[in-house]
Amino acid sequence: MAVTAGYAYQTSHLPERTLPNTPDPSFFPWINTVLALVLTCALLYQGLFIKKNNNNPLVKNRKNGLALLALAVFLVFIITLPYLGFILAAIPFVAVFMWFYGEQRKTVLIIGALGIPVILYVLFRHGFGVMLPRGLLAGLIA
Amino acid sequence: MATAAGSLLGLIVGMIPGMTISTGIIIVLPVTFVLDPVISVSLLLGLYVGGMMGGSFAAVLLNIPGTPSASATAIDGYPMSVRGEAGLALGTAIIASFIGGLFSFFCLYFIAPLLAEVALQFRAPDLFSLVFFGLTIICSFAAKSLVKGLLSAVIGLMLVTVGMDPVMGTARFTFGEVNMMGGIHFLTAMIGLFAVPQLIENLISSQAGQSDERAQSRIISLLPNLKQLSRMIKPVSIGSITGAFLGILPGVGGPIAAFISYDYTKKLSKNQQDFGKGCIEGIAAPESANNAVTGGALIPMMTLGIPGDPVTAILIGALMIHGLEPGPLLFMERGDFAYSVIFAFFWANIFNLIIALSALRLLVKLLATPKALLMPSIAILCVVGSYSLRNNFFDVYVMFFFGLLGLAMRWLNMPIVPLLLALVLGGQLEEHLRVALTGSRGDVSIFFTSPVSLLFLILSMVSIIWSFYSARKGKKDG
Repeated sequence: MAVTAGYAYQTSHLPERTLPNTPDPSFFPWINTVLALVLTCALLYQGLFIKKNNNNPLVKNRKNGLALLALAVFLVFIITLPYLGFILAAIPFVAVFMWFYGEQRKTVLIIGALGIPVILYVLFRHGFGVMLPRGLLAGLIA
Repeated sequence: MATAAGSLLGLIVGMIPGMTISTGIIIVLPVTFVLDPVISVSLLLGLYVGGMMGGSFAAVLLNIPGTPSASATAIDGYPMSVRGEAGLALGTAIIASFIGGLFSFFCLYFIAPLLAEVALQFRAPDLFSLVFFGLTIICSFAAKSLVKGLLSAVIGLMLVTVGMDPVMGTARFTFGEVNMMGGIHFLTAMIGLFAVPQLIENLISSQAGQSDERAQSRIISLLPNLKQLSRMIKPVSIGSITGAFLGILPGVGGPIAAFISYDYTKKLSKNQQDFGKGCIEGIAAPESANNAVTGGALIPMMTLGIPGDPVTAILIGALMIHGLEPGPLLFMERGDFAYSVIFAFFWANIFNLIIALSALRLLVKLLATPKALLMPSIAILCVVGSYSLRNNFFDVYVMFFFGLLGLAMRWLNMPIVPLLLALVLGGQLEEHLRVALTGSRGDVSIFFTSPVSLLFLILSMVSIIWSFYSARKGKKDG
């Protein structure tokens, strides 16, 4: 409901156009607003008055803390990517994620953490021509 | 050989989540500058067809569609893979794709002029009703929780309005952020909605000590037996016809055809309850449809110079680079080239089948690597894939946002597919609606006075009513 209200507020501030018989830019957003409002009320009604079984394993699972941590690590990787560069940002990310997924052998961790970013960098930068950021290694690698 | 090389490349590109067929073609395009035009187009067509099939491999084995067109394949493909029937699922996908592609080749060869002329008659009200019809399929996927499904779709429609207004160019919901002027790229959203929750889910299951049946499953047999092949006849027929016809219509691509085909196959099946739990019909229908789209999309490209989807738009560019102008004159002035392209498409499907069946176990081995190596790689590929679309880090943040959204939706038991469909179709829906109303000066009866529009609206109502009826019947029986 909050999202719908915010969307409606923004929609009400969209500029109007004076072209005759032409739907405004706000025309479609208003349709969405009405639909969202109706459905949100229906969902609220269902939630309050109709019993539902929630068997989603993700809800029941007690590893949600690990999930949040993994997401945080992922976000840190994404944020540091433009500054550190692809390889430097990916190395710790891969190491941490491999550890999350159960890999505990140090040798495999090191090889994976170093190998995966380098291989993917070479593949995409030089194979597919995707301009991945070099970051702090700008002067050292092609 | 160029077609074969393109097919192999397409299979690999299609398999990688985040690496779209369009991206693959754009990357290969510079290579084709120095090649003969026929070889160039053969290479690109091979990539196009291979990519459509390759997307299903990741969908089946990882529940992460390699391409948007494979989204429907994941619905039944992944459950089959978890059950240890990955080989059967992949074999079904390969055979269905081949037949769909072959069917569309015959359409391209024999019916191209006629079909193109019919499609040209579609006006804005007709296109709106067609897209609306595509959206009613959401009801099928929302059958278990209709309100949540519809709300998921409306959220998608709300997200579609971010960016520039498609008719007037007004900036909407951009909050002054320049990066949001281009709107939300559907592919970025798809990567986030599918891949991030899957990564987290895999992490939780691996920590919970659940056995990794997918990683341990072997591809024992690829080919379905005779009984399974006979079950594929109806869905492949529906998918092939749907895909070939819808492929002709500009802007209607693989995802729409795949979902429509899946939906109608399910509705016409006597075993509707099996859909979504892993049945070969649920794979055969969308796979035949998304490959049939390839030939259908080539029809307006070749005969009218109008791209049927983003990939054919790039192919038009490739042809123009070589001094060839797609359109009716192409058949008159360069008939040899035109028919070379058509037969290159034929060979692309043949090579696709051969390479997929012979190299599948090797390719699948790449996906059967330990989760500790595979998942971080996929996470990185998602980031790279999102970034490579527009070389913009903002798209990576958007991908992450949609990842969070996807997770939240799973936790809340909200289906993701309706949101995905709304993201695909919402932009077109609004554009056609507003153009139609502008042309009719606000008169909504235009949607009912056009026979084609009326037909699609009636089909939409039938689809909705049937979904409600099926859902209620399912509850009563259950």
